[in-house]
Amino acid sequence: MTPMISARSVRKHYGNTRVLEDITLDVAAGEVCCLIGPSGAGKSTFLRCVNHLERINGGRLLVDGKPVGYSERGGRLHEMRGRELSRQRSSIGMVFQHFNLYSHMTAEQNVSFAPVTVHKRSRSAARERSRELLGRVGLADKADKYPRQLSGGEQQRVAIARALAIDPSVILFDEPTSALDPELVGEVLEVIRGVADQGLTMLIVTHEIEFAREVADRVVFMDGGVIVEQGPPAEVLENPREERTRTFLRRVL
Amino acid sequence: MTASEAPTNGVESRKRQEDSADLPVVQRRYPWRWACAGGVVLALAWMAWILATTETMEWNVVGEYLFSSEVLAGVKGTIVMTVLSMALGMVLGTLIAVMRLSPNPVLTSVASLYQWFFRGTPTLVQLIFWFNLSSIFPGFEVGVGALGFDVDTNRVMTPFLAALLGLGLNFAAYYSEIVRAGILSVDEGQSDAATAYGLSRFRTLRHIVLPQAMRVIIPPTGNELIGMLKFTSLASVVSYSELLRSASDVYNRTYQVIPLLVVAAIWYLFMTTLLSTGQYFLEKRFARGAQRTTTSTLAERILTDVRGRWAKRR
Ligand SMILES: Nc1ncnc2c1ncn2[C@@H]1O[C@H](COP(=O)(O)OP(=O)(O)OP(=O)(O)O)[C@@H](O)[C@H]1O
Ligand SMILES: [Mg+2]
Repeated sequence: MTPMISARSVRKHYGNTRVLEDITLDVAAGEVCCLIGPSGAGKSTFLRCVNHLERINGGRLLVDGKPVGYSERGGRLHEMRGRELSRQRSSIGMVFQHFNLYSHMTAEQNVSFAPVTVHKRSRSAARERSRELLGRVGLADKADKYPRQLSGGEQQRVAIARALAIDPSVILFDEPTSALDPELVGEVLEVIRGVADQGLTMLIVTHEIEFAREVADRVVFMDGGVIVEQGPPAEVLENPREERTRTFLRRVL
Repeated sequence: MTASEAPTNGVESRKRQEDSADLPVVQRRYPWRWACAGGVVLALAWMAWILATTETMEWNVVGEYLFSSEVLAGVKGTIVMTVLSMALGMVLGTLIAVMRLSPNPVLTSVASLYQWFFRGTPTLVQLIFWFNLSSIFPGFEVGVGALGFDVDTNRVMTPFLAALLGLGLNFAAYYSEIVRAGILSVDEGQSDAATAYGLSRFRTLRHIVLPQAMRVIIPPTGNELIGMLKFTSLASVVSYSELLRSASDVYNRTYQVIPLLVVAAIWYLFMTTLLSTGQYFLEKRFARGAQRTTTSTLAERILTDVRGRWAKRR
């Protein structure tokens, strides 16, 4: 079976700063993969490359067997134009550290916006689905609130509903709880756990080691733009082989 | 309670008072506010009295011309020119702002060049330039080959068109900076999210960024609109008939300069008042989702207070 996400020697630099050195990583369909590592390791950058918010400078990056941001014709990669790119992105959900909910739209509109404008669903069907999803993340009564009227935890749960609304094949989470007050972290992790149980492919950047241990099929430790170590949580988190991993875990645990 | 949560009007503070029902609350009084207000009213009344009784103001002449057909035609000219040149300027200005922020270096340079030129030369010069275009290009050809026909520049470049181009193109250059500031004020995460969910650059701009930028764009736009209303008086140099020109046409005939300038001033004041009211409602419309309340004006506070009292009485 082709992996859902497949990175081969992916490189990325901003000017002279090399952010991703040589990332090779496969995420199978249905797998939950947690990405951990110190600040500046390049975790967010890698995630942004996966849906082409950033362009990679070398290597190959495939989602669902297709190169991200490029289409293959006649043995060459052609840079995608707007519509193709939009189609490719439209099967990838993304949850941001700072939620990034559209602040001029209510929770319900936030969730139904992409289904209506990008996926061409009917407004009424999308609205109904939106309310259903908001119910699933425990926010049925907050559907008509604007983001600024919601707590951080509630905003992030709306953001997760927004990701689910496009029926994604992959969801990317970039530190979904690190902008939250400690007492709100639990409710968001609870919702992510529920999503993980449904068999969606997920790539989660997180600093919550306990959470990673519990939900991840695999943990990937990144540092300085390279993958230092990866494997099942029991291995990487309990018996890390690399010294760098041990140092990191000692600091965060 | 922080300062920003302090009750902003009478109704709200009364509500608070009812909430804490167990102890009687004595509202704070503001004797100095009343004293100042009294002083201001007295000063205004005194000025009004002086103005009203001064012979040279010739109020009867003001009354005579305020609604004369000549002045009304000028008012119409001013309104038409303000609306059209603003519309032209806003559309073109938004386009230029978007061009300046685009990743395409050609578009960015063209936009910068436009701003540089139109902001760097006096509006008056631009107006006169458009009006005298025929002296540079006496005629030009429209179309290609056999289908083309010649156009006499003088016939096309009417005072109206010269004024529209002069004011509109100039306004676009200033307005583009307002729009650009608005776009830049929207958090990048907003367009990240829209892009990540498959929206094109154009749709991200149209559905996500611009609606949020409007909150920042509207107040200075109101400012510019009011400025433009008065700026149209410049169009009198290309003999476009707007309010100031109509007034001066009259006083050149009758030598009643001051009363006619008063007539013009009254009309300008009236129109700017209307515009400010429109701005107020627009701002309310685009404040959706932005919780920061607009500070209430004196008129608003009086209105809510009167409404509150009336509701109580019923
Ligand atoms: N647009 C950019 N221009 C230049 N450098 C950048 C840019 N974005 C990120 N970087 C650099 O790339 C490196 C990796 O950044 P990234 O945000 O991917 O780290 P991260 O692993 O997500 O860290 P954190 O845990 O703090 O979120 C950092 O050193 C950062 O300074
Ligand atoms: Mg990050």
